[in-house]
Amino acid sequence: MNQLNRKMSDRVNSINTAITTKFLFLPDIRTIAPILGVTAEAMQTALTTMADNNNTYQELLTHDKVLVTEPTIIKCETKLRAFENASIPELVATFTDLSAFIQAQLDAADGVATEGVVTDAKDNPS
Amino acid sequence: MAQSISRIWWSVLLLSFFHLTSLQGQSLYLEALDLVNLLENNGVEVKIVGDSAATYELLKKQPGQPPESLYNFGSQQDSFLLQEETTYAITNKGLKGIDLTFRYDTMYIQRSFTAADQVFSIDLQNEATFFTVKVVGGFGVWEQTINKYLYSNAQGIIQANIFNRNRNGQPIRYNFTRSRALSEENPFLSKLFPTTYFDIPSWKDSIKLVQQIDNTVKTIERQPTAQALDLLYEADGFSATLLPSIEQITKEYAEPAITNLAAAQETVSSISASQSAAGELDFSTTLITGLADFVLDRAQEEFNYAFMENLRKRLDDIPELGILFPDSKNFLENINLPNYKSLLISAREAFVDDLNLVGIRLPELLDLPKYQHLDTVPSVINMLTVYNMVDFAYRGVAIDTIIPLAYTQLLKRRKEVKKRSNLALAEKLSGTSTLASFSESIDQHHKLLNVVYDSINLKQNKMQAAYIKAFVDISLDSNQINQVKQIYSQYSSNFNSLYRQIRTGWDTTAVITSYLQGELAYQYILAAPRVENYEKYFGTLPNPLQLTAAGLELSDIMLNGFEGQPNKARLLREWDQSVDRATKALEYLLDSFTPTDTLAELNKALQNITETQRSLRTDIQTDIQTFWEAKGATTFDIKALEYLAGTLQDPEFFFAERQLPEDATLFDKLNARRNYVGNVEQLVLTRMDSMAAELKLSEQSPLMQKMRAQPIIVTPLFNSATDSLTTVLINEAANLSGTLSTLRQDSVSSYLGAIKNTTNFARTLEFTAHLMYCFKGDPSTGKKWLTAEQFNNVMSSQLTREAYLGLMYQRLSSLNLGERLSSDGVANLATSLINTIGDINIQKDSIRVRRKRDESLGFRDYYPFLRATIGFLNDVITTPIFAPRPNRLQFTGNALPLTQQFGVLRNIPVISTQTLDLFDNLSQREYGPAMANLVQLYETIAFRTDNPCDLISEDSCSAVRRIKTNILRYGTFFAGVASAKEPGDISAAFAAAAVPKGSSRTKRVNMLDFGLNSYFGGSFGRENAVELNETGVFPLNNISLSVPIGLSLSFKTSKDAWGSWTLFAPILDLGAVTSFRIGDDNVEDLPKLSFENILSPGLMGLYNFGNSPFSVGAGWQYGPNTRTVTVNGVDTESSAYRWTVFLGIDVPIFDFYTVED
Repeated sequence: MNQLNRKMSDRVNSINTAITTKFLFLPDIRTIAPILGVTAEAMQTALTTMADNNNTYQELLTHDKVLVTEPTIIKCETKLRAFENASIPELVATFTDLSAFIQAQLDAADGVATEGVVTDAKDNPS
Repeated sequence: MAQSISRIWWSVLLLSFFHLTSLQGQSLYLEALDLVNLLENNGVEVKIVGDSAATYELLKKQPGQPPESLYNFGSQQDSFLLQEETTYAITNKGLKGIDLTFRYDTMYIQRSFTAADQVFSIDLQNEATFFTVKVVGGFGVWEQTINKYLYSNAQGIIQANIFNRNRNGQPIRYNFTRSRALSEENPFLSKLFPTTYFDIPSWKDSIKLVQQIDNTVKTIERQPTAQALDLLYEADGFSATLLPSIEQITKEYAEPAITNLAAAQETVSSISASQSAAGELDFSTTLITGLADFVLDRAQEEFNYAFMENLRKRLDDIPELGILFPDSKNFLENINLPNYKSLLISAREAFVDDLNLVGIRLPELLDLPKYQHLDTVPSVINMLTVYNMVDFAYRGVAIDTIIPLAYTQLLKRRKEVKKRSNLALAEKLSGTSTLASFSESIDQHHKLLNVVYDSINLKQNKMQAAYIKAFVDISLDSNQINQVKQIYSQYSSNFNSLYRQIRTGWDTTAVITSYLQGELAYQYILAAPRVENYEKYFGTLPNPLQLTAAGLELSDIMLNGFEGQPNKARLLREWDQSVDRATKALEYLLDSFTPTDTLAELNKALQNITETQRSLRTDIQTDIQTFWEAKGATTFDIKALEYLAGTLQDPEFFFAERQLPEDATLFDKLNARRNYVGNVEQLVLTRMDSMAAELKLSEQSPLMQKMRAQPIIVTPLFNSATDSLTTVLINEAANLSGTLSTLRQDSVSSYLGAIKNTTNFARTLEFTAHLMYCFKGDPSTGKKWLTAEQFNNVMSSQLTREAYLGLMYQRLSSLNLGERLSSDGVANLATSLINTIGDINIQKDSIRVRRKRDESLGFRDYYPFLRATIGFLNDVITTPIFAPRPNRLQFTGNALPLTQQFGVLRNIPVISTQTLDLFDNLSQREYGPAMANLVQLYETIAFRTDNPCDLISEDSCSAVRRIKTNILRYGTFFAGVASAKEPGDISAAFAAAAVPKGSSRTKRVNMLDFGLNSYFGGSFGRENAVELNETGVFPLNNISLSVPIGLSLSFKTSKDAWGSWTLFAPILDLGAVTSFRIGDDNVEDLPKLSFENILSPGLMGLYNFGNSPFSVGAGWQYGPNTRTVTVNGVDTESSAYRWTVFLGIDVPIFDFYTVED
């Protein structure tokens, strides 16, 4: 794994750690969801998807199929901080955002896998 | 170097000073009292059960309902671990019911019982696989069986909330809690906290109490050294706030000379007065006395002049003298030597200055090129450290600050030595194939580390994702989610902390290979270019040797871990296991929420493997009888098969399981058994194949067919893929670490001793500092140290004593010096320290009084503190504190001191005594003894051991001795002149140093000796008077007192010869004038006292007896005077000579020339 990939892998790891730690101190989602104005099912789906996506992304990072760039790291860092500081009503937005972010990374990785071109277009302006 | 050391010390001091003002700390004494309060506030009091060595029970007694009548415990030995059996019998007749909560790890049992009969017993039974909680009472028997391998034997708490329902049905609670305390191996705390708590208002409170106690113990145990040291830096009257400037220090060193200027002038003037009177000779002395005095005075004068000339030359020639006595050197370089007598007065000032500063100048010797490598020599490092400690005290630094400072200093020194060792190794290895292959291996290790890291990271990610899913799983109820959270919080702190440890410095592993090859890690650098780092990497061309050295250092950290921490490979394994445990725990928990009976599955698997094992054993035996014996297999092969069958007997079989770690799960045990049986099967098959080949069989035995058809798969069912890889990594790291250490041993071994020495000495100082911390006083009282009264109070109550010593033991043990501490050792050190503190406090008070009176304070005032501190350090080193191989709580072995663990510390007591004495003597202006201390310390620099020629300097043995002799000789002379109070003292100084002393021993121990010698004894001889032989009087026999003075040339026939031989040419003989002649009535009784009377040249051969001043010899002597004989009234004169045999005492006067053996 190259250096930036490892950094990214650390961030993904941090996201998981932050989410799990956060949940230790939160009531279960049946209580949270109404506060957030979503259904518990929707929240479960969002978080489960994100957790699965994280895993897939992490795996791709390990195999260097994704070439991460500094902007990706920075973006991830920002999301992580946002998540750590988020209040309960802000959480769902953060979950959705994170899911989208990871999904975008996975899509980019798909491009790499199929086209053999290293890209990180969404985060790299060049 | 000494200057740079000095700079480092000062920077450390200044840093410590800034710490002083901000840090306050709780003392161990208060912690102990708090702990006791904690118990008492929870309504707990201490009850001693059995003798004093037995356990204590912490009880809260209810009025009228003593707990011991309520609960009757079957065993005092019961442990919280699920490995032991315990029965709790509850015999209270009024008991109506019991609510039982059994909590263990992730498992809960909660039951409520009511009773028709009031007798209960809770029975905790332990079997190989199962653990049973059985409650027997009037309601009958309730039993719950748990497969204990599902749960690791981690800490946990069993609680039983036992209700006694009153007549109105209201519950009355009596609770007990058992917990495995952290402190169970602590001989003091284990007595105090037997882990059983009764009647604490609720079980939540009891858990809280247990946790509070554990936290206190943890805090004490894990307080980092740096923090403990900071706590010691509190300011008081003696602290670094009194730190003088460098100018002040220099002034202070010279202080004794300045303050005693008047005394010096007085001495000088008396010297002058004596010189003016020196011209008057007492002419009334006899001619002989006058002659002797004249000769002696002249000789002495010559010697004095020669001495001064030599001194000037030596100060130039011997750089050691120049460094130790620079002012004297400057002075003597610029004077006209023949006038030395009149100039001595001014020289004296230079001598005194030099002597006062000689203490701080000694380490400057190490600036000389020939000594520069010596700072890697353990004895020199120890000397410098002790020396610096003493030097600090001399400068007025607070005593309790000195030890932490010295500790910090040693760590810095070790870092330097390590750096130099790596540079030296880099130089030796640079460009060699050894380095290339080592670097290649490191690269491979690094790659594998990354592969394993990535795998575990993925695994952790998956595990965390599983927890996230469980947290948000709406099919689980709140209680179940809470259980998930509980498990997660239980495991996450461990794997998170391991993850952090692994990540720390992980990046550095990426650059090692390039560094080892002497190159920057371009790949690493180019991966993340930043403008701000450009200069850092590409500013100057890096020195390849420095990079290689850095690579070696980083390799060391990667392979051996940093500062006693586990290496990356081990951390990866711990992390891996921790992640596995968290994964399994969640799996089991989620399984337990579903109807699937994992437990039943596991037990089935266990049953299966046990059956396989038993059937394989029977099958082998059957196969032997039905097949192999019939085919004519050899006895050897048949016995081999029987042997293999034997390995499947139950005890051996279970042995495989017993090899597993304590916290092995059922899965681990299953795997162990499977692997064991699988391996035996493989061995049986291999043996049978070779037997078949030997017997040329075309068919296979029935067992062979069976085994081939259904082989046992040895691959463990639940083993993680990374498990074997981490083992490979750990072994690889161990091998590479071995390679690195061999390279070091081969190439830079001299540094290894130094590194080990500094580490060990630093650890000793660390230990001492922590010990001192344990005696820190109550900050609110303003007392720095515990007072003797407080200490005695603590010791007088059993509860506080055990708490205090227990916390102390915990603190000191956590430093992990490699051996278990003995409780006696800790108690002895405590006593020694409290005495030291007592001494210091008395001195402190007296100094406070003197300060109030505005009296000036000097080194002498601080000296008792210094002596006490160094003395205490020596106590720490020499007090036996380790108990070798103890059996848990029994410390019956012979306790051993720190020197046993760290041999290099042995010379510290000697060195510290010499250093203390040097400064003590200098402060008292006892320069002579100070010179002796100085020479001893110089020997520490020059000689490796007590063996005089086991050299560590680059000089030859005799050169070192010459330097030593010169330091002593000229130092003593300076000392003599400096301490002179009257003219005689100056002469004595010259006499002591300038005039070569004769000693009868000199000619007996040295190979050659030439000097002016005298003998005192008796001679028996035959005397002839040449012209008087016809008179009939001569020759005649005589016995006389003989005191010949003349030149002697002595030699030994061999180095080991006992005595020596002397060729002696007497010139004068004072004894001859007193000779009397046997049977000579005609000779005047005594000759007249004239020069002729004593002139008596001759030649003698003498043998000098070893180990005594006696000599015997024979020879010929002329004179001493003419003989006058009156025959027939005519006086006839004639000169006389005699043959003589002589026995006497050897009295050398001067040695001119000596050749040592």
